[in-house]
Amino acid sequence: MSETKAVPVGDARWAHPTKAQGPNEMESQWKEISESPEFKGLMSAKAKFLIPAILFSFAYYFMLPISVGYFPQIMNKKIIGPINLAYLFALSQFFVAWAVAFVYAHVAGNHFDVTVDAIKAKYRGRSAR
Amino acid sequence: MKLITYGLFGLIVAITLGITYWAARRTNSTSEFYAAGGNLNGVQNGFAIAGDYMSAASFLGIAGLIALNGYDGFLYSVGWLVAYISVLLIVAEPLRNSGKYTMADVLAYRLKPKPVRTAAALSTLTISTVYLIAQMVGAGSLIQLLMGIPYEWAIIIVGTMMVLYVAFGGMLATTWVQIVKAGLLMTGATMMGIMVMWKFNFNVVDFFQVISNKYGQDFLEPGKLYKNPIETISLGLALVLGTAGMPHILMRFYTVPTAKVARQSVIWAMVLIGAFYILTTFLGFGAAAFMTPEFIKSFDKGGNMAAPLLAQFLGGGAGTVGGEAMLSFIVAVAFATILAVVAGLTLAASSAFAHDFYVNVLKGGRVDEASQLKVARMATFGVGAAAIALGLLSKGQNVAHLVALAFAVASAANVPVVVFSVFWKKFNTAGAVTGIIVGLVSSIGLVAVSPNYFPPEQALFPLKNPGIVSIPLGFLAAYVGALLFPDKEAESKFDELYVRANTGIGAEN
Repeated sequence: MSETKAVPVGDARWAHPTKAQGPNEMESQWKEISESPEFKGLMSAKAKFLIPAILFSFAYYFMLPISVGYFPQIMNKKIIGPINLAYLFALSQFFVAWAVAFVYAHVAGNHFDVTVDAIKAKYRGRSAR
Repeated sequence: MKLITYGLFGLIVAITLGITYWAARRTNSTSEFYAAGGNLNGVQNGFAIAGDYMSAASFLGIAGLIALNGYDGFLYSVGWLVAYISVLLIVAEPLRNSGKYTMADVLAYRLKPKPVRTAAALSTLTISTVYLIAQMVGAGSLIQLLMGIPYEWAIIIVGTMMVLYVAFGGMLATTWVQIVKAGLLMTGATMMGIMVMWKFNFNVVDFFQVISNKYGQDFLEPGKLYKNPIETISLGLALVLGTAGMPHILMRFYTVPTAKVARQSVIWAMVLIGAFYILTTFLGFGAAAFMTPEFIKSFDKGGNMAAPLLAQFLGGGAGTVGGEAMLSFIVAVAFATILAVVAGLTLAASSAFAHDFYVNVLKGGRVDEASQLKVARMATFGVGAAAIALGLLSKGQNVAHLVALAFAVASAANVPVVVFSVFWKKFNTAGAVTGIIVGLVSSIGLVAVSPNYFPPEQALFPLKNPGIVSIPLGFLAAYVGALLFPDKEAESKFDELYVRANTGIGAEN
């Protein structure tokens, strides 16, 4: 994988990519990318995934302190032997967080990264970089 | 017992100093010092994040909380994993793509560097110092408890070790100390978890039935520790958002070459951290099943000895070779755990001072590479000396609330400005400075007048955890500050940061 290759040590990694160009030229290039349909598509695809994923994860997490705090009688209901709903709900938090993380890694790897690579290929070819 | 314990203690000291020696020879530039050269892989960084994050307070503290309070201890542990959802989905990749060594690099990208770096250095130093004091005091009392080394000596030993790792081996040594620690901690927890369940033929229902019969079903029900749901929610907010603003965690994303590797490392960290907290349940409830609370408390009121005593029991009991060997092993794991976390914090605090404040604010970035490295190392000695002094001064103080305070400041001061900086075009310097200051001051101020320091009826602020108030305040201040003082220049550079943060263009060579 070429991406995981070592990067040069020092400031090169953070150096301005278009240092050689004039300030207006480089500004317009960033603007061009940011207004390109590919980049806009990437950002809307990311927003469509990330915003619901974050809201769902937070909602699911805060349901736990809310339900054990305000509805203990429901949460104390035994489900399997002495194991109650409160325990299973808390345990499920781990699996839900893992699931969200794995789904994100899958979507990002198969979709977002592909779009990013396409954007990079397109603009790398056209800039002086 | 003493002999095995000291032998393992010496072994950990030797291994970590060996790592430091190896790393020191490979640390000749600031990029190597702050970011291990930026070429770790996802597994390495994932283990290191886990090692950076899971403190002795998690290992011994949560096992003790569960052993003494049952369900509520488990409830507390959940937020520590969910926190990584915010790290994964919001900050890890943009940070990797747009920063260099510290969180402030991201802010300075399009905002005025001096004011935002000063503000960010202030919040970073506050968070790292507060968290470091909590860890140092915990380390001092734990090492005293576990190994019989006096508190003062324990602080000095831990402080010296962390300074050696960081000053000489930089991020590379810190990383490998954290990787070794994460491996040891996972091994120890898995071993004990399996041994506990072995005693119940791996029947989880039987396991909980024994506990229910011994303590009553209410031990498995919520409410023993957390009586006020608002308090639990406030703590949860600080945990799940604050981790994404913890400087020692954020720093770790600069050690990998691409956003994709940053993502993979969070996934690895989440697998390890989640597995660890689930195992901790079995250690905590296991300690409750095999021992009495009175017995556990007779060693330490807070229950910190629950896991080590459980190890001794599982190995065959006090006085047996197996029992003492297991106890010594878990004590050694706890020692390694302490060292890895304080090293990460020391590096974060040193970088905020050296890279953000000294090099980029005081000297305006005009410092050559060799001097930058020298300043970074000197800052490490300074942070170490301060941490040792504060650790000695805080002897006997109750510092548990400092952990929650560190997360509250991270979530109220750092998270809003990082998020706005990367995702909101109209955000600017004024917004960043007001956001950081308000988030920082409100978190500290509310804790200062909270029941942590006053009897509940006299406290001006009723909650021990300020997050539920200070986090919205931090976001609001950053938002209002930005709207009140519009800045065309910051807006004009937004496209560049926005594209770079989301694609990595310009960040990777």
